[in-house]
Amino acid sequence: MSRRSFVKGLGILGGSLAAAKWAQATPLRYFKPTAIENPLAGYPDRDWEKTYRNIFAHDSSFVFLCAPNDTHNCLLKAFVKNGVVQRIGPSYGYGKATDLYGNTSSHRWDPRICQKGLALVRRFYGDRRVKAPMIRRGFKEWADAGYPRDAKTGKPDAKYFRRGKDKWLRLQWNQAYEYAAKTMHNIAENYSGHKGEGFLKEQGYDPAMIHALEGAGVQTLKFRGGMAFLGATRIFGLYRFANMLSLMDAKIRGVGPDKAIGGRGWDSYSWHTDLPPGHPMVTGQQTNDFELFAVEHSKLLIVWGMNWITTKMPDSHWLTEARLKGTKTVAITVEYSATASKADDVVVIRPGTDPAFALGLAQHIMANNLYDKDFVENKTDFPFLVRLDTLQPLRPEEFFAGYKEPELTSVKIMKAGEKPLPGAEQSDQFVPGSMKDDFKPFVVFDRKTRKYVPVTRDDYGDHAKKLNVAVELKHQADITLLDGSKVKVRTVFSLSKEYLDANMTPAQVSLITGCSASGIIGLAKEIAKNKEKTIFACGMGTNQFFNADLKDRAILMVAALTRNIGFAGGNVGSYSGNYKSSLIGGEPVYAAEDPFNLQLEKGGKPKIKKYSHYESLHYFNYGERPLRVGDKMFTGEGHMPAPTKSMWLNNSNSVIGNIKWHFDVVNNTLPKLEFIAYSDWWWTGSCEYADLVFACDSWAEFKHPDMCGSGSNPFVQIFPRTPMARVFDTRGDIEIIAGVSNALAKVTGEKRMSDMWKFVNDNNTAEYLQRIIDASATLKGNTIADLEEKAKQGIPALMNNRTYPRISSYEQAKSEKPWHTKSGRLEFYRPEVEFIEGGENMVIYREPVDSTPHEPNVIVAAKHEAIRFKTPAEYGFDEKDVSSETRQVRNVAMTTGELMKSSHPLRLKNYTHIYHTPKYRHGAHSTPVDTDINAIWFGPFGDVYRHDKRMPSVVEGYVDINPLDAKAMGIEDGDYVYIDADPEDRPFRGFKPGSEEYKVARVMLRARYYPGTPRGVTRTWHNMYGATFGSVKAHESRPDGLAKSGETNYQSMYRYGSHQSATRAWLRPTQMTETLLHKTMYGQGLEKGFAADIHCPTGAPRESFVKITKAEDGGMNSQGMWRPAALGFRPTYENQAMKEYLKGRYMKGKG
Amino acid sequence: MDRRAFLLGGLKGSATGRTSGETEASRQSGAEASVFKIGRLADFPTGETRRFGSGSILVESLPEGLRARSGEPGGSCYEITANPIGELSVNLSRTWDENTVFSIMIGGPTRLEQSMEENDERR
Repeated sequence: MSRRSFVKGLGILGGSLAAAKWAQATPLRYFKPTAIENPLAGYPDRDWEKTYRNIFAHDSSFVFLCAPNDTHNCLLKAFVKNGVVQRIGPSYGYGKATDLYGNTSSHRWDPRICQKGLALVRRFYGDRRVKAPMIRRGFKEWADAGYPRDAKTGKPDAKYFRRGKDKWLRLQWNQAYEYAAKTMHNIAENYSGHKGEGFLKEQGYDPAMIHALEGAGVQTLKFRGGMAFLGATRIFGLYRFANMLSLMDAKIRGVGPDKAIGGRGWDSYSWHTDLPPGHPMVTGQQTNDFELFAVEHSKLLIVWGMNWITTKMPDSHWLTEARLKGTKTVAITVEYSATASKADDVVVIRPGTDPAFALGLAQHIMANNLYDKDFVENKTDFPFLVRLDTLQPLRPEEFFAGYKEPELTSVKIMKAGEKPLPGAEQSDQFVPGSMKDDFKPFVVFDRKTRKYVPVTRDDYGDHAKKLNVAVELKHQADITLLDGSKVKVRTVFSLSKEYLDANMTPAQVSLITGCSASGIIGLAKEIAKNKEKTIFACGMGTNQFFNADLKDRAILMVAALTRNIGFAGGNVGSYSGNYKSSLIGGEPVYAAEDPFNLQLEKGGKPKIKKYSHYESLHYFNYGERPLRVGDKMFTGEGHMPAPTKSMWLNNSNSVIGNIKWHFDVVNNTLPKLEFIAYSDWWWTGSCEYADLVFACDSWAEFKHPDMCGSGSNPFVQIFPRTPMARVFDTRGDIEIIAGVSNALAKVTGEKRMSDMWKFVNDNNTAEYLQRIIDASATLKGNTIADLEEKAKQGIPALMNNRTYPRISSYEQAKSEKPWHTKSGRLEFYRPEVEFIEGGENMVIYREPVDSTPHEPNVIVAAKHEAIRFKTPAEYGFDEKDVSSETRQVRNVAMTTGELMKSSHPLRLKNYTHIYHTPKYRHGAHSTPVDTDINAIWFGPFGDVYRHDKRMPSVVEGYVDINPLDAKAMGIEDGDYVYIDADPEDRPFRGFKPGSEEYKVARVMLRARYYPGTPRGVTRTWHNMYGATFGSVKAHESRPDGLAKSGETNYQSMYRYGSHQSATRAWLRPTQMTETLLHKTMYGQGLEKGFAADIHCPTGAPRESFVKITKAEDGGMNSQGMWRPAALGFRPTYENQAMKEYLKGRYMKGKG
Repeated sequence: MDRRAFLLGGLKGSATGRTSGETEASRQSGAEASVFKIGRLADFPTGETRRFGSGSILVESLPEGLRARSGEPGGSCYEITANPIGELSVNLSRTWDENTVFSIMIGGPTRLEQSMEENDERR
């Protein structure tokens, strides 16, 4: 009975209450007045109060580690009553963390928790838990039938692969392991050798991909531990498994360890578009960063494309504390974000124009001589001369007669057969002898002596001062080389300055970005004023555009010009994803242990040998294709993917469920796969389309310890084993991997596949962790037993980094070490052929590839003698072809003025809005996003009662739109709308209007009036679960309209489609080069070309230009206006009371 | 559990119980008495059958889900439920037909032959 009806009932009954005999038998009898003379003597029993007092009482508690991909990782305390976890709180142990020397952290780290962690109880016991190993019926029938295939193509009958529409069956654990093992073995066998090659040709794979297979069908098996730094053994375990498969390859192909190949590993950090792809192009490092609490050392904090307040929740206090200490905060953003509301200054720019904005700052700094001469001359490549005939650096050997290159000391050139030191002992950079020529010296011009001077890699930083050269930064001249040829040479500085002065003045940048010229100039001056004291904290927002690497190169340029790289208070960092596994540098002793020579002794030293190759997931996302346009292959050989026939992922929903271009993957790519396995503890959108789902323990149920860290804080954190009993029929991730390996050992007769997991099978996973610790410079000296014991008390440990906070480029800024580049300096000129052909040898600006009202991906440049890109005609396609496919490689230059007059090709077809999909505070990717008590806060449409039965869940996806735009389109606040992106390829290639697939894929969602977004720009948060066949069927057939699959309990938060209906995969040529030099993931080695999570495609999920069409009225059951708008509580609909409130008239102060 | 139910649950046998003059035993309905817990999901590996109540109730673990039935030939099948912490119960006062099983996926009854595919075909 509601309170209202109860009170109403009282009114009706009131008159006859005294007379009614039956009233004695009703609850109303308690309303009879009672006379109490002495209340103290006869006070009623107050035992009932204990119920309230004991609400928070608990029988016991334990600590577990909450570690989604949010870069934080928090040891949390679970409080247990009657055997059930009832609530979760912070551990308050962070202030007690110490390093090996006894240095302690501060209690300012406590409390450490966010609302997502608090809500985890509802996930441990949630109804979408994967409760037991499950197999899809059709897949089981295929396996039980002996994996029948078409004799010519090798393809199984499609009747076995009705993914997303099939029934699920429970398996015993051993059965699940066997199905996985037999299937992987069958696939590897069938796609090996000439037979496999023939099948793949018949299936239409690109010959380059078939070539990449090297005849080893095992390479069609792909593995991904999602953001593996989150689990040093259980998540990295899948990469160890991939390496182990070399044993299976050896059996199948009959080869020895010298020729055996493992399964393929997929990337994580770059896959999530978390990698700032320009960082390795400038610094050689995967990512230049600093621990977030460093910001209090800065005087000027520029939060750029990073919604710190919402996405870094346990660390958001560092920003506010920096402000308390006097740090000025500037937010550069594309909307008035939560972080913008905390900033002193806010710059709102057009999405995807960040490189232009940074170049505008650089132009003003250069043009007005505001740069730091010492830093620029000695720590960057700006002084180096470039030959204009070849666009290559001028080399001393070409110019100085008899010049002999000195032996370098800043990089060790390894001799043939020489092996590098173990990772933890590597202090100097090294390369194989074959890369010696990558370190040729450069030439600068001395304005004092008017002479040219050779500069080697050893002359980095302060070491350059020994040369006693007064560098002429703007030098250009015609010179005669030793071979007699006359060439023009110019410094990188001079070339860059000319480009900036011609194209990126504050006035021009103002046109491109929408920020006023005075705003650009003001900020440039302020940065220049704060040398060593300006921090650029960048987020993934800016990574999600096609021009992301240019953005990094431009921001790093501003920072380098103003001496703001490598200092406690002056640095550049990028914050997205839990990526920096190099902090646990001993990881390879586990992930790449040589399976042919296993170390089975406790305390023994393992041998490392990598048999598995890695590749970027973006090619899978791209439809199992490399980038081949016109007559040119843009994907470098080292990047080339192998065909995918099997995938097994753990800790991940981003490869199917929340993948960019999701519906294209579901409808066009997944049918090419023969086996999809997921290990998860929550039934995600990925599980919906899998064949086999392994049920994993939740973090609170761990029976095997694990370890992780983060790039944003200084802690090594242990997942402790917990006393909580498994709620369902689940296993630890690592047990599952071991289980499949044990089954493979039986299938192949190769016992070493079981031995590979000896210490898991012996219930001593800690042995593997100890090996990793012993081999990691940051952890060596710790024991896993101590670390786990502390973790059980809620206390992490501090890593042994050189500084606290850890500061990237610290040693380089102090001139102790060179950067991991060819020159040893920060490099703003890229002479590699791929960059020159793309017109990006200098740092230039390109328009976004889709998110723009103007012509996409245009190079903004007036004629410049160093910009000599390949034209569409040279690549073999028509310059007028602006389709999505060709656009990625289409090099066309325009001046700023020409750009502003140009149009996106879809503008003529009523496509009007940029559509972008960033991440929000109520989800870490999609991890906790559908937890009801968390989800209802995800915007204004949360309604736990779902009064409007059209709602797919207790909340639903929506698009933020400027009210003026919406009104112009006849869309009211809360209406349902369709979002349609380029019909050429979205929601998926080859869609047919009216089909079931199209109905599921076309996104329909609420429109939210949001004055914080500029006109022409719309947004949907990235996190929510999208529609599937099962959810749409449920939504349309259930009486209550809930979009919850009747087969699996999968809960969609959209009625139809998702935010990924409008995204697609993009491949960028400069991210697929064979030539870029960078640091290896672990240790101090240098290498070139592809490296997973360092140099490979990053995608561009914020690139979309859309049409918005009204679908349904927002009012209850499609009638009229959405209630909050109708009541006058929404923007542009304000009633009088709301207007008064907004004017602050409910607040009254003195005076 | 809503707030009201939570509080009432917490008050059982304490203040409310005494004031109303009821005892825990007197409030126990016949239906409640016929419900008994059988364990957790992990106790029922697929393909196995467990006996309860001196063998009078069999719980079969089928790939599609769990089925509780009387041990007698042609005996009734009974409702299976799970509470929010994963404990399974059989309710002898509610019968299911033999084609209904407890789906571990959705935590409720499902038809043995039912699948989306078959439903589509039937349509």
